[in-house]
Amino acid sequence: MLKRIVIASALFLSTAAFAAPKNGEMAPDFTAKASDGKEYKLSQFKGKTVVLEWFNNDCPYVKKYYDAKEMQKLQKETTAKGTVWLTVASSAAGKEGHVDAAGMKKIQADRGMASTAALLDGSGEIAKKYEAKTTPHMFVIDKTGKVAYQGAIDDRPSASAKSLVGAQNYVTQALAALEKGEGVKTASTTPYGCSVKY
Amino acid sequence: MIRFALLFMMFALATPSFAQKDFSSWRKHSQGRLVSETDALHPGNPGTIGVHITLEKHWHTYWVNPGDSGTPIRLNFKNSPGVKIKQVLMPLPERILTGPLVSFGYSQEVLLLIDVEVDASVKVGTTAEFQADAEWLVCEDVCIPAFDTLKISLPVRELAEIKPTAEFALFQKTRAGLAQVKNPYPKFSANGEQVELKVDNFDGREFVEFYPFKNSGVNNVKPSVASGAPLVLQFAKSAVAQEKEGRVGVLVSKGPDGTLEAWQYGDSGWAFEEELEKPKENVWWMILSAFVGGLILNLMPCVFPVLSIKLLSLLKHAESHPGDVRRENFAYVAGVLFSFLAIAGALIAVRAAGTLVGWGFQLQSPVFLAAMIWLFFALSLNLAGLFEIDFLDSGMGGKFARLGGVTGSFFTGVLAVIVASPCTAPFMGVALGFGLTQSTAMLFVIFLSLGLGLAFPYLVFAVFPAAIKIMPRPGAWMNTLKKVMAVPLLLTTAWLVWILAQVLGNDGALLAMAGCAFIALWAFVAWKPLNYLMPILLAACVVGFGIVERAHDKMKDLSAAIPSDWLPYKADMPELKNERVFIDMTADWCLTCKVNERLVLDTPEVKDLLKSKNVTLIKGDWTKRNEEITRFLARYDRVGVPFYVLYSPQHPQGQLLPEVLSKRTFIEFIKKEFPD
Repeated sequence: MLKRIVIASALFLSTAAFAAPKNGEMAPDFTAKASDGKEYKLSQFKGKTVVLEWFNNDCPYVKKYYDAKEMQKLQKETTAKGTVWLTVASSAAGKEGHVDAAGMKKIQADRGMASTAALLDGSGEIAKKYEAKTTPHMFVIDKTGKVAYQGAIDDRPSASAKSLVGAQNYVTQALAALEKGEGVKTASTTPYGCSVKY
Repeated sequence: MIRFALLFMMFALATPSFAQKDFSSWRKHSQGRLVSETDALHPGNPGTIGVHITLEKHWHTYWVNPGDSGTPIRLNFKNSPGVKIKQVLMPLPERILTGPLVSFGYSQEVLLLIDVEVDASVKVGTTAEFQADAEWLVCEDVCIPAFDTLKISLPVRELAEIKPTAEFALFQKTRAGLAQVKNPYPKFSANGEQVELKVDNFDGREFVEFYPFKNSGVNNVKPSVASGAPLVLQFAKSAVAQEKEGRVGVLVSKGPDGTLEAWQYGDSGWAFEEELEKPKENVWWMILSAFVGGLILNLMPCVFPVLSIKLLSLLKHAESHPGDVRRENFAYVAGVLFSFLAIAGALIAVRAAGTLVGWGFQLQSPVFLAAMIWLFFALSLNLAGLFEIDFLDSGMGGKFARLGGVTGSFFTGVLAVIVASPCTAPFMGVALGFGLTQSTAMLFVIFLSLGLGLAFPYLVFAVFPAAIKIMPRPGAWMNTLKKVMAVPLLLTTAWLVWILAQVLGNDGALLAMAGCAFIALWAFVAWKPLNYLMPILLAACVVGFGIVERAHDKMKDLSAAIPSDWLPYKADMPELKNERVFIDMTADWCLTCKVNERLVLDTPEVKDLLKSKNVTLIKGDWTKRNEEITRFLARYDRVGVPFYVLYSPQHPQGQLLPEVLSKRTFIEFIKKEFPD
């Protein structure tokens, strides 16, 4: 058993060394189909700030933010400023939270989501490029295409709605700093939530 | 001797109590309970209780570092007085791999050891109550958070009468499997893209496993062994920097005799929360505080202008029928209580919606401010005798006028509450904060008590109308007094204009003053068409302010001038972690705050003292809506300013200072806290 663990981790290490996104470095480019039928390429948004949000509709930590309408509010405020918000659904086929275009569209309508697009990443291709670990796992990419923030959405690793009160939202802080042309103070944190269902 | 956690878990599997559980009935895939090693505790002696979580097959829950996803258990203790939680210890986890993701957690069951102590003052024969609000995450392919309030009561007995419980063996096994704290311990060192950990004196041992702590700066993937003795482990660097040097992890190795050993390097950063049980008398004390606070509020400068109106109407009554006196004073009391209940209702509604507001929050709204400016301006003109509509005063005689008097008194009461909000009287802050953290019913009780305090002097006249006879007789002097009273009202108006200028800028203030000019014109010429135009104009102004207010909501961080020796408060400022920090939460509309600053905080003696003691000064300006500050206040169960807190090495959680500061006690307090 020990042997198997060692092999598995060695495999992961080799991919990790290749792809781990770093703050201040170019965010890995990707092309993906969205629930609206269109294809989106990260590099098409150069000149705009981009938020990546890992999403799984059935994850309690994602629900915490959507049931309280906080995520929708954040999406609305952010996209209103011309920032691009990409929701990424990376659950593999047969796993919790896996969606096809129609399924995602329905969730977007039911939840009143306001992200620019919801990318269908059932293959986990984007998730692997970003080493997305949890839902939610957040990335903020600045106008030049460099990673400016990665990690948790806030400082309250809890699924309880009560934890929203008094929480520090790292994404809001990062976006505000970028808007002012300042450096992001808390640029990476450990994300919390359900695991990405690869 | 230390055993690997897995071994003891296998043991646990074999115990009959575990085998008998019917998992099919579980809905949430895990069960948690508080258990104890012994059936009782003894005063002055340590004891061990534990959180025991049993999990359905294939489900797991997490260690202090959950790994790439998940969260560790959260525990919030509320224990009976005299019992204290000293530490919570978690056994070694398993490394669980799911696709590319690493988790550190437990399957089947886990017992978290909780070392407790009963204070020597606790009497034998009483019970020690432990309660933990727990949240833990259970995952298989999907994750389900479990929330539960776990409880256990243990009798406090003589040592000889204490016996082990059925779980005693589990406690012993778990304790034997814990990692031992090593001091001094090896630390991570960077080596290019890699992070290394070098462990000396490793001869004859074999590396088995390493569990890094959360935010220790390394990837959760199992490290590779670069050298066997001394042991050198190589880790991939994590995207998240190491939180502090002392955050390393747990090393598991096989000793020369083949047994497993586990060593803890540094601290895990995981912590439980503990709310100290408040004694029951507190509720009554809080209700009393609210009443006293309300009573004192009468003397605060904010309420004074309104009271001047009330005072005048009282004087008019000196010779009138006791029935009228009673009716009008009751109306005033009703107005005050009604307003407090309305505020309490609004606070509950807002609280239910999940946002935070505070005492005095209405003064953060430009529309409200503008309306108040116009109202006060009109009132002062009225008192000055520019026009003769008795819209607050009471008339004698006719039935209609009497009705007007009652309505007027009621609205004077409402007005008194509205203008009272910029002032926080002593006792009030604590009571308000307490009320907001309590049930809806208790919140109403606290607000009612506050209202009764504010209305108390008039309640006396309402109950004993004859007491009015002690007031001087009405006469011509009253007209003079009335005109004199117009002055504090005008001053209040000027002050409100100043606040509006702080909130909205000069344009807003100009708009408000233009409104005042219209009111003056209307009052002066009493021009009939203008009479009809007046409400329309005012309505137009209010709509205008509404638009401005929406724009104002979007204006962020236009922070007002904060003195240079103070740092403006931000939730994420690194200075908050300094050892010596004094935070002053203030607002321009908060008179109590301004008085404290003028008389205490901004005096040279206090400034020099704080500087010489190297205290970081942070000021939060709550003049405008600021969610960061509201949330900061909420952390201390407060809903209003002024708010003062001092952090020191002895009191890392901070010590609260009273709402009304005195220079002498403040200096003594600082000197006592920092004697160097």
